[in-house]
This record gives sequence, C-alpha cells and structure tokens, in this order.
Amino acid sequence: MSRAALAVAALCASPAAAQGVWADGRDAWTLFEQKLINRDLQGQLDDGYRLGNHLDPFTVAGDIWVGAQVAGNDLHLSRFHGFFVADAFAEGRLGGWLDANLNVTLLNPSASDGYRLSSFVLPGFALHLHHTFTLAGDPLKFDFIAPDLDLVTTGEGLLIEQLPLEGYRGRLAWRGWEFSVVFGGQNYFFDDDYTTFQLTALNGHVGIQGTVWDLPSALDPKNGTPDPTSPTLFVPYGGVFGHWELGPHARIAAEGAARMDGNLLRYGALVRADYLQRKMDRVDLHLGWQFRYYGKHFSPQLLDERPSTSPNLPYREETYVTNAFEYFYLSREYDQWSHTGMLEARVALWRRLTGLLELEEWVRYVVDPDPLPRNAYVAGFGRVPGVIPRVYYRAGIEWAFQEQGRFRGMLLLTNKTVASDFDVTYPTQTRFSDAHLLLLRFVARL
Amino acid sequence: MTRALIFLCALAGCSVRTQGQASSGRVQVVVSDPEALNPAGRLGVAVVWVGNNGLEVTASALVPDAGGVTVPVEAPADAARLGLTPVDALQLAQGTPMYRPRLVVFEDTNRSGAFEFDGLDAGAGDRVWAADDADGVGYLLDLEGMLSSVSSSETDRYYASTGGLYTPYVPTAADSSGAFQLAPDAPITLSLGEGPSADTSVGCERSVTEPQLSLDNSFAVPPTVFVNTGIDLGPVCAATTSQCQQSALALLPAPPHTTFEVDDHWQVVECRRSGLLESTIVFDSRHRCAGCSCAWQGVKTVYVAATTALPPWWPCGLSVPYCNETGTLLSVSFTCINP
Repeated sequence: MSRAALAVAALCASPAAAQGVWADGRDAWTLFEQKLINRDLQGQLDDGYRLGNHLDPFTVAGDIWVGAQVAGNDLHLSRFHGFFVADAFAEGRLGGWLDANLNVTLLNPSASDGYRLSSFVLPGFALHLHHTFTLAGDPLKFDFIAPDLDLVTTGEGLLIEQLPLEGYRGRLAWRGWEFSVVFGGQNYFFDDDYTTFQLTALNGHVGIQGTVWDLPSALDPKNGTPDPTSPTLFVPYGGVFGHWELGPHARIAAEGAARMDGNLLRYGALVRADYLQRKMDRVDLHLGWQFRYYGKHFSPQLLDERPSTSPNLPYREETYVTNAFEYFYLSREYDQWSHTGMLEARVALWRRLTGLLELEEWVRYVVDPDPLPRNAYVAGFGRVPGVIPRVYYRAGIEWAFQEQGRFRGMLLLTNKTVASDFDVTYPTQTRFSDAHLLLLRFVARL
Repeated sequence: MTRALIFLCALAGCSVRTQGQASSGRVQVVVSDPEALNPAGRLGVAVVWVGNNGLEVTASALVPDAGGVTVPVEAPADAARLGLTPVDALQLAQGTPMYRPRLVVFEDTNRSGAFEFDGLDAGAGDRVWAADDADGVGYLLDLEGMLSSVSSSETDRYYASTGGLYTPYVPTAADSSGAFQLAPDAPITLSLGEGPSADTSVGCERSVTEPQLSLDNSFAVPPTVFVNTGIDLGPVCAATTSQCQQSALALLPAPPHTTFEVDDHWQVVECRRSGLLESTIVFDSRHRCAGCSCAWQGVKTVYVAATTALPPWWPCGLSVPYCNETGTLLSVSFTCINP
C-alpha cells in the first residue's frame, strides 16, 4: 500500500482519531470522512500536516470542501450543486482550566443563486472548562462545555446519534467511572429539550442513563403545528448501554431503553457489530451490522410532527442513513425494527489513486401491534405497515494531490446527498435525497 | 411473546401483518316521528343504491318498537353497472369521490319485510317516509387512492371516524356550507315526513331541483286575513293586497297554535299587537314536489281581533307569546321564529 494511501487512510475515520476528544459524538467505527469537533482541537490535529497546531496557546485548523453535486436532470439537482464549505476552527487555551473554541463555517451552497447571494456564515462558540483534581490518590477529571456541543451521541446512539446540538455538557471521571450530564435544546422536535444523565463504568464500556425529553404537549388547532404555549410534556427514559472490543478490529455495542407512556413501558433497543481494519494490504475495510427496535410510542413525540434537523451541510453525508432520527416519526403509530448491513472499503489502486465503495443496506419492518393495524401512506416511507428496503451507495475514486493527503479530489457516484432547503440552517424533515448524483469534491485540510 | 414471534418472523423475512379492506360496513339508524304521523304499517330501514341504470336495495330491516336498527352497508357487486350517481366529494385531500347510498325509512305496506321501491310517484311499492339528507354513510370509491393522497392529520381523522377500521364505508355529515365531512360514528336519526320529498330524493338520485330561496318565497305569500266583527276593515286591510274579510272569529274553528319545524313541513304561529288590535298569524309551509322538482309552498292565515273582544280560542299571551319585534299585524318575524 502506498504511503499516500496510508496517509489518506489515517485522515479518515478511525477509533484512534477519536481519541483526545472528550465526549466525541462522531462514529469511530466507519470509514466515512470525519469533521473536526469544536473542542480539544489540538488533540485532533496530526502533527504531520496541520498548519496551526504549533501556535501555543492557540490552535487553528480548517477543512475546506469545494465541489459540485451534479444530477441527470434538474429535478434532482442538489442544493449543493456548486458549493464551497470552509470549516474554520480556532482554540485558545486561557490558562490551565479554560479553553475558548470557535468554529466558523463559511459556505455558499450554490453558484447558481447569484453572486454570493446565498453565502452563509455560521459561527459556533464553546467555552470548555476542565481540570484534573486528585481524589484518593487518583485523578478526578472534570469537564464542562457550553453552548456549542457540536456532534452529540448519547449511549450507543439509540436516542441521539451524531446530532449537532447546542446546550451544555459536563462530567466527572474517576477510576474508570464517569458521571456526565448532557442538555441539548432543540433536538428533533419543535421547542424540545433533551437532558440526560449517564453513569458509566469500566472506562465507558458499560453505563446506565436517565433521560428527560420535554416538548409541547398539544398542536395548535389553527395551523396543526406544536403549540409552544401548551403545557410542557416531560417524557422520561431509562436505559443501559455498553460496548465490548473483540480484538483490535472488531467490537459489538448495544443499548436498550424504555420510556414511560402512562402506565406502560415502551421499549427501544440497538445492537451493532463492527469489523474495521486498515492497512490490510491495499485495503481499508469496515463491515457493520445494526439491529434497531423502536416500539410504538417509544418516540417522545406522539403528536403529528416529524423530526427535523439542521444545519444541512455536506459533512452530514458522512454518516449512515440508519439513525434514530429516522424512526421517531413512525414510532408514533408503529413498531419498527430494522437490520442494516454496512460496508465501506478503500482500495489503493495506483500511486495516489484510491477506489472508494460504501454500501448501506437498510431493511425496516414497520408493523402495528394493535388488533386493527393502521394502514397509511407516509411520505418518504410509502405504505405502512410494510417492509421498507433501502440501499444507499457511494462509489468512485479519490486522488491525493500531496503525499500526506492534505489535498484530495474525489469523483463519486451516490444516492445519498444531504437534503437542504434554500437556507441550509432551516430544519428539514428529510436528511437525505436519494437521487442518483455525481459528486465532485475537492478537500483541503489545513 | 407476540412481539418476539413477530421479531422471529421478521428475521425470517416474512411479510408483516396488515389490515385488509372491510368488505362491508354498518350504520345505526334511529327513526323519529316528531309530527306524530304514526304510520299504520311496520317501519323499516333500507340501504338503497341508486344509479343511472336503476337501483338496488342491499339491505333492509324492520325497525323494532324502540325505534332504532342497525343495517349492513355493502356496495352491490354490480355497482359499476348501476352507474352510481351523484358522486359526492368528501372533504379529504382535494376532495375524495364517494357515493352516499340512500338510507330510507319505509313503511312495509305490502308486508314483505323488505323495501320495494316502484319508482318515483308510483303507488304499488312501499311508502317512503324519510331518506337521509345531511347525515349518512359514504362509500369511498377508491379507498387506497384516498389513503395515498391524504396528509397524516387527515389519516388520523379518517381512522378516528372509522374507529380504526380500514373501510370504504365512512360516516359523513354536511357542514354549514353543504360540503361533506367525516363524522363521528354515531346513530343517524331520520325523521318521518308526510310529504313526497323523501320519495323524490330516492327516485331522483338526489338530483332534485330546488328553486333558490323557495322557503323564503313561501313566507312572502299574501295572507288570508280574517278580521273580527266590529273592527273597521279599512286600516287593517289597507296593508295587504290579499283576501281580507270580516268574520266572527268566535265561530271559526280554532287554528293550530304550535310552532314546529320538521324536514318537509314548517308551521309557525305568531302573535302581534298594534294599538288596540292584536293578531294571530298561522303560517304553514310544505315541501312539494312534481317529478324531480321541489319547492316550498306556504299558506299564511291571519286572525285580527280587538284586545277587548278576543274569541275564546285566542292563543296569544297563553300558549303563544307575543312577538314584540317591529312589524305589522300581518307579517311574520324571523327573529321571533328563531329567537
């Protein structure tokens, strides 16, 4: 395997890349591109090629994407059909206790709108308070960060997975134990808040969590949208989670949770298994499987409201479609379980040329446990109850313009591109478009 | 356990359980008789499908003494041949085509136990006493198509209306603008009427022509005025161009003194005062049909007497309150009819 391909592989997702970032919400067990996280910046930068990690007490970095998403016909044209995204990060260490983190995303999703007409500046700022005390001869780590939490995953991702959030997060860690709290405002539903407390043991391998999800309890009869003046509904969850490594390249993870629904308990569960190996001759390979179960009424939102999310930026394509977000609308009426098979492979073809292949096969079973199953057509899902099979792919080639892979160009064919409104910050109810598109992307990591 | 089995089933790749389309529905009909018409024969309720090419009775049942009966509703197998008409629009999505079978209250005059309709104005069949008008049951011509085109909130409304059943038979009700909406699944009350409207509704496929404002027009009919002896006709009759005559009111039969409004019969009794005179106004309007054309036809009779010399049957101030709205001795006040 060439040095260039090895370097590129190191840039991409890896469990190692996640080390150094406290409460990293990214998925380390994939080969997807990984964005930087707006904290612990220095720990994320590779000494070999990042330009701004020798400016102590400051650290700066930038990820720049320039590209086009080209469709066969205008109807399928992506919002990002001629775009740039410059994700700039800066961290200042204000003494030993406090970091200030600033992430400014500059972008223009479309060159067709008019000169800089739809250019955006999206700033996110986080103060990170941290210190290591000593308790009974062992370090007691304390962290608190607010308000930009960047990507958040709680547990193993049954409720929230790789969701950009603002709020606060804190922890105390001692001797393999950790107690943490996460608060996120505006998660999936209008005016919702998510607060979770987690206690983990064995260095995060197993844990329990209690969650309160609150949101408006009624729809406004005039417009059918959630009424923020209605009494707040507090939905409690309790759950357990854990993961276990099976050697250096494999692991399994699981999470189960239940929510109170009147006098009933509603259940959800997640099991996933991953095999990830890099530098296997000329190949990096990830094979994954996920099983998810979301029972009827497991979602906190039983009103007729679809989850929505923002911002809708190209980096959000670097996740699986299989995500809690996708289950929480149908959970209002149906039981759902799914099996997802994942495959990502990077193959060094020639010098700095790499072949990429990503497949996600997601089969979802939607049933109504009631004696009279409710037949319905749901936009984006089709007729339910039923079996909803989906296959998402991305395949193509990548060229590294420089040995370390700092500058790369890609030509990919895909049916998974981020779905965005004209305003990329406007929440959308559909995360991805499944139109078949050709992706041209140039990536610079500075 | 059930869910575990379903899970195992899912692992094996078998299909998921769904709800098949109901092949029939049912409707509960309550028969009322507000005019105390008391038909001699047994009453029954029938479900009648009328089309361009004839009609078909798919169900009929005699009404027990309690006055309510549940009858099945099932589209005839040859519905297409019948040419069902008119096809109404249920206010779901952009308007969902539906046909409303006629719910008919009939008198089983030939004692067959079933409804036999010989056609409009024919005399040999069972007598039609009532047919559904605003409230009824709708048969969705393309249930799957409807379901695929409605929003999730409309889907909620549909299942709320059917009690969770996946059925093309839905309870409907007309709103104030005459548009048909989904209705709660509740008994439908049909009131017996003396006139021919129900018969016409069945026979004319609900395509009954009705002149606009025909009920208002019937209120405007010139009255027949009876002025008690001893009262000068001039001032009273000057206000009207209609028949105005002097009569000894005490010798006339007592007019009706109850106000009621039923399907095809309105009766209004109103009392008015003007100076030393007062009047009893009896307005009677009925829905009359000729063929498939119907209109309200009113008769207005006014009795005028001096307050000091009222006939013994005079109802004013007793069973009939005085109407104090502005007007003359001869005019009916709508405000007093519907206070």
